[in-house]
Amino acid sequence: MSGIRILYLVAKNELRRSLFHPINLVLVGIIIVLIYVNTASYASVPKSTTIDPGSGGDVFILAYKNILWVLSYLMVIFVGFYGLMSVSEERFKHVIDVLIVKPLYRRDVIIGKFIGLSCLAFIISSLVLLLTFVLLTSVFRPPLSMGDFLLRILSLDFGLTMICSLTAGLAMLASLLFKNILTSASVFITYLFADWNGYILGRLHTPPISPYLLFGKMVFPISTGATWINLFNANSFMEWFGYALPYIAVLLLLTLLVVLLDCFILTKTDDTRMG
Amino acid sequence: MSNLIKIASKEFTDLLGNGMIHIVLATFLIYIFISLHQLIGVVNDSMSMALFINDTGIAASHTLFYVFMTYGAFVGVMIGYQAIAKDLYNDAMNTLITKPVYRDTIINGKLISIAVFLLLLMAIVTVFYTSAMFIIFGDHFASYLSSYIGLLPITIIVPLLYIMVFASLSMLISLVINSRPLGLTSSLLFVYISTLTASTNFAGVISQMFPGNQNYIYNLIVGWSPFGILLEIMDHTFMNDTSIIGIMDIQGDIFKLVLFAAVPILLAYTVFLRKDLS
Repeated sequence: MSGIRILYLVAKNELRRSLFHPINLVLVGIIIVLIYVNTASYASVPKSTTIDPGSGGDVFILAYKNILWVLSYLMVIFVGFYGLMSVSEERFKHVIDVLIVKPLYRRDVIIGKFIGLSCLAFIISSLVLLLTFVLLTSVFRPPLSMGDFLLRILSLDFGLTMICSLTAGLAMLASLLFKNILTSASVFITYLFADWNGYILGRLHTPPISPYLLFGKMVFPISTGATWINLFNANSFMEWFGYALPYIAVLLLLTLLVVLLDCFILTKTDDTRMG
Repeated sequence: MSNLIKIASKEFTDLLGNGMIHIVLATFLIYIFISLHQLIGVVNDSMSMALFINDTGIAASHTLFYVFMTYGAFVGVMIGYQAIAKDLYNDAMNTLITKPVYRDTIINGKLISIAVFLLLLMAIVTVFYTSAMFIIFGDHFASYLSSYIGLLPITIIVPLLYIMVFASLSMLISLVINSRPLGLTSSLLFVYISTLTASTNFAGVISQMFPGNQNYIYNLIVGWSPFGILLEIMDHTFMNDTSIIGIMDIQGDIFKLVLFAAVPILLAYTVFLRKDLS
């Protein structure tokens, strides 16, 4: 079998397993409630309202800004735990032992799983953004410029997919480093707190190197001083893109680095058993 | 009673020897360090200090309360979940239930050890924090020491109850859901939902959907979220009214927290009694 075919099979299996997991019903339920509540707040806004005087952006696209943190955090929790489950649960059940005796490279197992989880993140993110668009258009109005809106929303889709993929990569790293499944889960939970709730790295004024900080800088590249430029209020898509490009590049590089590290650790691991 | 103490002490020893605790303690200390850095800014800002009646002791208690409250929920999930899950998966639970002990004694023992352990953890963090306050603020903090010490019971006991809510929920989930990562995700979802329902983006918008007194509906939603309850207690205790009357106001909130912690434990008894272990 060719390398691409192997990757495709592992990714397909990972995607199918995570996509049809019963807990996704809970995820879908929470997402629908969140989007419904957010959209309902727009029902009382006059349809003639165009630009928000406070931020300078189209009122339509600001609806995405309102729920950005809660939705992205929810997606990160889910995709991250699928990442944790994809390695640690398989090690615990010795599924990975079966996989690595097959004629495929260990790196293909990791890359395939990572691609599968990235596809899952892309599907969830696209559905969330699409559902918000449909509901918002029905109770409010369409965006002022559809072309500009599409560019911005596709960038948001890309950003959400990337942070979820990076988090899944980090979760896989935790489950490869710690043999005990509960320890790896605890490390991952502590990371979630430190990055997303406690904002520890942000408050330490470190360069943006974590998924949360990178995503924040990508969406809100200029957020200090008198001028605030972000994905929602930039005069044009290209204006935002010019500022966000370095952060997008770092996000891609960091993701690549984490996946390579995952591959390296699994390749060097002798004992794949889980405690 | 002796069985209960034996199980509790065994669980407590296990918790002390668990590698996860180093991660938890290190994170707490880093978080305390960052919060102290922010507290210096608050103490030097007269507008911020006006919120705390210009009392550094109250501001310091508020910061400590907030640290326990935010990271505590995550600690509760980790400790509560692993208390049951580790024994279920390394077959220790099978051995334990063949002994002449009631199954509810096992849960009680674990619950007591978690509470004692959390209290110890919070005491260590408090000692570290108080020492750091003396080093940074010196005599200035010493002059406000009485208000700081006066608020210390609330600063520790209320977040402890809050953490126990998530610990008991996680214990229940670990008995119900077999997959460990899935169980932890579900436990963490409760922390997420608790934080979400207390936010203005959620409770605020929902309250606007209903006619009548919107403040009442908003407070009703927030008042039934453990995170919202703690925010309410924080406002009552540290920002508005630190007199005994202010403390009396939070009795209802504390009762709700106890209820939130007790219900999952009662359910855990039922699930554990009916569960077939293998």
